[in-house]
Amino acid sequence: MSLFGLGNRNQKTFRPKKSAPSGSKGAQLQKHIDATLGSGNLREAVKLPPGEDINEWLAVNTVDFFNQVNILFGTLTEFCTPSNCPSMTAGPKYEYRWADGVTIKKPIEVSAPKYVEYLMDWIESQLDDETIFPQRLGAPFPTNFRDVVKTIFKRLFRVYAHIYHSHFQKIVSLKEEAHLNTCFKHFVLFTWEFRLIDKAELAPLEDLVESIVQL
Amino acid sequence: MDGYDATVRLGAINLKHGRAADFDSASPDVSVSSPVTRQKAAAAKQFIENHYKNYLQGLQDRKDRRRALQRKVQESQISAEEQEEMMRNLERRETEYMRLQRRKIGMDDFEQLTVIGKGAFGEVRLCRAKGTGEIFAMKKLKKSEMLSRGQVEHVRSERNLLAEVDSRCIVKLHYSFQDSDFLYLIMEYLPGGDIMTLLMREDILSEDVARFYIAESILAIHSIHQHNYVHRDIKPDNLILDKNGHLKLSDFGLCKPLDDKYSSILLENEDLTGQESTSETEAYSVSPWLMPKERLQQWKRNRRALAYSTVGTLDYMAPEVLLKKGYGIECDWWSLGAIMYEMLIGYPPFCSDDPRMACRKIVNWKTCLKFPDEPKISAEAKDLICRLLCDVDSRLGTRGVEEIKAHPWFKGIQWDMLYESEAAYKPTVTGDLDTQNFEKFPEVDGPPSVTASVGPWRKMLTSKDNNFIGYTFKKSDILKSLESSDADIRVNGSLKTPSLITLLGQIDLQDTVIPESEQKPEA
Repeated sequence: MSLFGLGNRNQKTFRPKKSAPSGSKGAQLQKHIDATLGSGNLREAVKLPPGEDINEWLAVNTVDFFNQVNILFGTLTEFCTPSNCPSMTAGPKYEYRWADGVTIKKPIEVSAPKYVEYLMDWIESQLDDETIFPQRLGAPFPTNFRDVVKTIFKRLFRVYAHIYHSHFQKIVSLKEEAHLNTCFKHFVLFTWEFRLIDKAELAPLEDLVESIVQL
Repeated sequence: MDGYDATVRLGAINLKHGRAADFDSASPDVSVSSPVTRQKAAAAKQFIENHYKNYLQGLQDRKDRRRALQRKVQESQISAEEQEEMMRNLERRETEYMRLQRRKIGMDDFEQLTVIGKGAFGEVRLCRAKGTGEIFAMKKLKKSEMLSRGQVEHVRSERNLLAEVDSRCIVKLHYSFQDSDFLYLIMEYLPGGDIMTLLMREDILSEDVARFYIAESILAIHSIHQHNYVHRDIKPDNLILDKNGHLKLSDFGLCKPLDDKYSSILLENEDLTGQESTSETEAYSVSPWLMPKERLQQWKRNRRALAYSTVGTLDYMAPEVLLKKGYGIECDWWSLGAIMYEMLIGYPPFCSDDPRMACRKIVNWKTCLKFPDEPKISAEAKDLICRLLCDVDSRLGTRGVEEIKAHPWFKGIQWDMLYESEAAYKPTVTGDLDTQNFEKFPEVDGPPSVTASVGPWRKMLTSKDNNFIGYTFKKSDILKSLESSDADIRVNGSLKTPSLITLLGQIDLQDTVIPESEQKPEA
């Protein structure tokens, strides 16, 4: 996968919408945001183990985060439909369009479930690509491995952003908020530890992210 | 299908006790979601909880290994250069292990060998991992059969228990995965056969042999109770022997404890507990040893076939389970009592040709539990059986496993040394691929079925198979995984006992270092 021009595509797929900010949304989030699974010290858990290869650590965690987002979003397919979510939004100010730079070079506007399907299929193809995520012992990582990981994390964040902004009440109804919050907290701490997502990309959940990373 | 309903659904492995509380506290909001969505949510939550438990435990184990090695190298007074070499070796192996963790496991990784078990829902087969040559038992379950027979929760519970409980008393699950048609459990292969095979061969066991296996069964049952699981279907075919004759708890039977055929029995509570006519009372009070000898022999011959059918056997099931009253871990101790009776007397205490009759005998155990004059058993053995086959309130084990262990029949048992001691019975096992302790099954020579589709994995986990979300699992023993990367560790086709020293290769130590055992002793 060529990463040439990634910046340009980034600009086209991520476009702030001009609308009034919504404060009440944040208040609603905060009400449930503290619920987690009590999964021990995640801040310590994200650190690179002594003697470990950084790429191997990034790889195994990328797979885990992919699986978590996949299974969490899978519980919302009844609600995240083309009619309910005609575009991939994260609140009133942010909308994402899909482009993978290969089969879809020019960003297209698609419904949220379609966007997530494209996204998860794309990530899985990266994870299955032995030239990017080698599985055989001894096979090396490519020199651009970190860039691929960063793109994966940036796009996974968008699914979290969509879930929190559009479907959090359903998550609460299904009693999943502690699970969602734990996975997202782990995700944010990990991405913060290794600087995998630009701060601007985290804007849709800025308050939430800030509350997680503050010491 | 709500997985939280733990009192109505019968299966080999129940959900954790805590789930019942969740069910009671369900929010009215749940009604806005479809049953499929609620099922997905329950599976997702379980998946995430399991993940974080394993993830954090894995990190802790890794720290422990590193710290243990640091301690050893310091005590061994080797040069700084050699110390660094040993640390680098450990780090390389940890990195390799981490890579193995994210490698997808599928059918292509295994060479299928002999069939050792077959039933309505699938089969159990010997298989060899292509990469390492390791021998496993592959339990293959047909999804369509699981769904149509209401076995989804059963198989999910089994997989969850095996993935969670890491004990030498429980058969080890190494991997689980699925394709569009089947679920696969890649498990430890135990070549010694099962207790049912032993009983069919020996007829009765001496009290010394029986004592050994009842004691090991107690440790095995207790290890799943400690994880808040209730088995509910302990029986001789779920007690498997390894090559040295030690016992592990499993569920190789592939049977369903309760089929629709028997729902009517359990629904007719009056029939099970009410007054019966004189002739019927006499009929079900007949003791097994008064059955014509030919019928008893026929019952034994049918026993194996029954284990593999959809019917299974209810002969060892506790009355409170059959009556669908509330039950707890105590129901497993009842099953153990029934097995002990069979070991010493030669057949289960409530066996019958007629399954309905067996249920009635169990429910009316006060009338039906009897002991024949022959074979003679000790007073202590009889007393223990009577304290296990009785009301829950007075049953041994209800107030903790220690009260069973303290029974006089177990005098002389060294509980913490059982699995280190020599087993009471040594199965005949010739080589890694030996299946002589299992029944022979003909290979199907029919046309090969269409290969089940495999990809993409993600869609299998959520979209097409809502019922089997989160089924994929990988729990490689780090030592076994590390061994697989060192061909020179293998000697004459068998693996050396793993130790840190072995894993670190040819480094001479000035002082002898006792390898730290990875296996934690049972409490």
